[in-house]
Amino acid sequence: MSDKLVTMEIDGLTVQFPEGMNLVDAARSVGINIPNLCHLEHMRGVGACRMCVVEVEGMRAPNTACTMKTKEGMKIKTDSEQIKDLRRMVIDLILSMHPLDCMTCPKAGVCWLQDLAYQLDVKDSAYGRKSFDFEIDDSNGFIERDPNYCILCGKCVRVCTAQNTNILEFMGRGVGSKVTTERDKPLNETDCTFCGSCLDACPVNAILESGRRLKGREWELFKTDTVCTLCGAACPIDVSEKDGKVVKITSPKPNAFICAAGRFSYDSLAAKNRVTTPMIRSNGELKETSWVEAIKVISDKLASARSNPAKVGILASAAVTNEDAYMLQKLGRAVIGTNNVDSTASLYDTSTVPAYQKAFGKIAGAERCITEADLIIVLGMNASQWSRTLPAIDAKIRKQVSGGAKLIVLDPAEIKLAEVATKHLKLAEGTDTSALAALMAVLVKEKLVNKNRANKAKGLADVRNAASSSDVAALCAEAGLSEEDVKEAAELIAKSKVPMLFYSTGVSAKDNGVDTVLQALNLSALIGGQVLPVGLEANMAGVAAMGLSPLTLPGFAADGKKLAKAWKTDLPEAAGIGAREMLNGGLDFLYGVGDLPVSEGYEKPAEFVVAHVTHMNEFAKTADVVLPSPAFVEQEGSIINYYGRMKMLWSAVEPAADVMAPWQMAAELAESLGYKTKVDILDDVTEEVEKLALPPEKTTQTTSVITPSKGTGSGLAASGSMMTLSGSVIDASKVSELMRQAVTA
Amino acid sequence: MDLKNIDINKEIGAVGDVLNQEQKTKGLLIHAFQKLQSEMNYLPEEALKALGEKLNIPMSFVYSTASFYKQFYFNPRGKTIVKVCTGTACHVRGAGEVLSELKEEFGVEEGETTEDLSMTLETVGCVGCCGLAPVATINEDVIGEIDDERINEIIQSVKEA
Repeated sequence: MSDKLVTMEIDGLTVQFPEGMNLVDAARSVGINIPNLCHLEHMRGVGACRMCVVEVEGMRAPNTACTMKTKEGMKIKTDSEQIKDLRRMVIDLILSMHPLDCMTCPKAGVCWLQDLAYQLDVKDSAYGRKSFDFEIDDSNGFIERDPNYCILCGKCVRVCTAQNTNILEFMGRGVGSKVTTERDKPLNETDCTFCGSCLDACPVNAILESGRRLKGREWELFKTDTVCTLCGAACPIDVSEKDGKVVKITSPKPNAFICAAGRFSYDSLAAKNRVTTPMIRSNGELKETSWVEAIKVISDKLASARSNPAKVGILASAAVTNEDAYMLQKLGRAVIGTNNVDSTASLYDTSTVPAYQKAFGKIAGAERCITEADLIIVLGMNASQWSRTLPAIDAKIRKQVSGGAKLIVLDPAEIKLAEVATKHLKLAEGTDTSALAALMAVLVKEKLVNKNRANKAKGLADVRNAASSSDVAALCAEAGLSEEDVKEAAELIAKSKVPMLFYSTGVSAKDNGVDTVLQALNLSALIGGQVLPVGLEANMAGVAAMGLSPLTLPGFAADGKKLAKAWKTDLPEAAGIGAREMLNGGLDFLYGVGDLPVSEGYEKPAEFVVAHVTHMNEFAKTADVVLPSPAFVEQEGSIINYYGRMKMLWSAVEPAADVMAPWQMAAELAESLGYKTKVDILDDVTEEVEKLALPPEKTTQTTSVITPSKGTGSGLAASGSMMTLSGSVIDASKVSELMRQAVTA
Repeated sequence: MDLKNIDINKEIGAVGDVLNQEQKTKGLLIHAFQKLQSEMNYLPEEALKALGEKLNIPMSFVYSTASFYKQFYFNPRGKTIVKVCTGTACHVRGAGEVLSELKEEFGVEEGETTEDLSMTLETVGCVGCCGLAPVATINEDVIGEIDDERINEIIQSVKEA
């Protein structure tokens, strides 16, 4: 597509489009829907289904719109009688090989074939019916494939290929061809990750969620757009509910990606280890109790523990909402008088908050979307669909690369993403700052980036000067890279228009992580790029903004004056301790929320421990009081995703337990200790968050010259995925097994 | 074919000058299938896996490409390939009987191979000598005007091969 506009005529309507736009997408953008069965938005048209035929003035015969591009003076008709007849013929032929069981078909109502047959008034095929009696693949608990419904549109093949999973393909040829796996193996014998992208792409009933049958027809389902909080990718999801139960979870956008956990783990809502009522330990055993009793026991303990606030801690997973995070830290700071408030984000990322505070005064987001990126730089991020670490980020990067974007991977290890990299810079362990400095030095010295493309940033001239006076050879030697490789990577950067840099725990958990992040921000400012800090949990940026950290106050406030006034109390002065120290024990009182990643046999970290959790986990096993919390798709509130954007969570189903959200519990405890919160409903918290805890709107980046250093340490990164399910830190290799258990639970 | 050490540029030849890397590796597939099959008489899964890894092509695509062509086989084939013509003329002159006799004798269905890999039984559309119907081929040889005696000869030659 170019920036040039062309004028064309569609069905008598004169319209302007960018030149070279796909005709189906262009028509849709002005409200003209050209029927199709095989077209995927933002992907090259393949002309497989022949439904999108249109008349083009000057062409001998009708042609497929999805394989044509907008050009000056084009005149097309999308709905003439001739065109309708051709489309009827296509539907007639497809129906001759498609079961006509719309009355029990789970796809009725969202089936594209059904819709088109209706629109064109084709009741049945004039050719009779042919069936190959293909075997159904229901080998796994997630996805069922029935090739007898398949209309060979190839959408599933293309989404699977574009995201580089490469499981489904056309096999055989002609009328007997079939979309299936290598050697027609069942899905569970292939490398399939059960992400279900094929499922969202299938326009008919050939690929379906296992167990979806007879669980409700499409028009009976109530859909809620919310956000998955199972990992740092925080994907938008669409939850379908009927009679209070989740029926399916899909991606709200066509041709987007959500992973198997986000799509299928809703069975864990009613898993056996779900905490359904408050429990108090008596005689060594956890016994069910009432909320009133539980709150009384906790507040009594807290009232006495408050006399020594340095020994009280509040710790939550970074998958809690902003509202939860805000109220929890307020309970700590304003009511108990301690800065011992933190989230699990500090276990795997000790760099993002300090570095961004220095550079922006807040965690800044990206203004562009990954779908616009033509160059992606991956720094210390081992995202992988297969190991189930940030799977959606892996898939999105791979899709972008399939679409022509370049990828530079900066990683000492042969990570899975590197297999699709345009350039893999295998730097020496911990030398990220040197490698980035080398790149900047080449870019500046060889005049590969002009000043116009730089982001607005204070002190950039100093960074540029430092780069131009540094020794490329020495920096490359430090980083263990060849000058030639660095130059090639720099040239890729020079050619790019929208570069985006992703980083994660591979750098942010290291002891020189702050410098690495600042250096990455320098590079990004220099080349007019965007930096995306990706945490392992959904709300890493949000918990920092809300002040659920000993290092930040709500809204990244520089001092506590405004807060003290609003909260009508003095703020504690003593520095607080972080997650690692809290989990190491020695406290009088610890309030733990969500999935705290402790291993089996973990010893009780405080004299009195409260675990506010969705599922029984190793941490909760040590607790004196266990409280039920709303789980993913039951939560309400907001989070800030890795783009720095505020996303709303809407409860899609009534919680499958007698829950209280962490923000509610924090307010209850504050009130019971005599602090007036003025919080009754979630909106009260949201209002307070808007007044006191929203990060400043626009800030200009301040760059700082970084002296390259060697970093060590790897935090939690080494322990892999933080993606949780059924209340435990998941061993990637066991995830399918666990999910299957959840399905049968 | 030494799959680990394929010299992609050498195998692809002069046309490689105008192809990019992806086009070269994909373009090499059918050539490699033919070579592999001539050596092993079918395309074993392990060989295709090694080929896919060497060329950096996913297995789904490797199988998709190979399965498009009728000339490629994914299961071992027999030492002797017997193809019974079921074209119109042969059908009229008793191809059905020829086929069922062979099936019974060797205990295989159409398209199958005997357990001892001595023989594969297939059918064919027409071999172009309808005047000799019913016709069958044994490997490259054509046997025409098949009667009881000739069937026994076919059976004998398979067993002796």
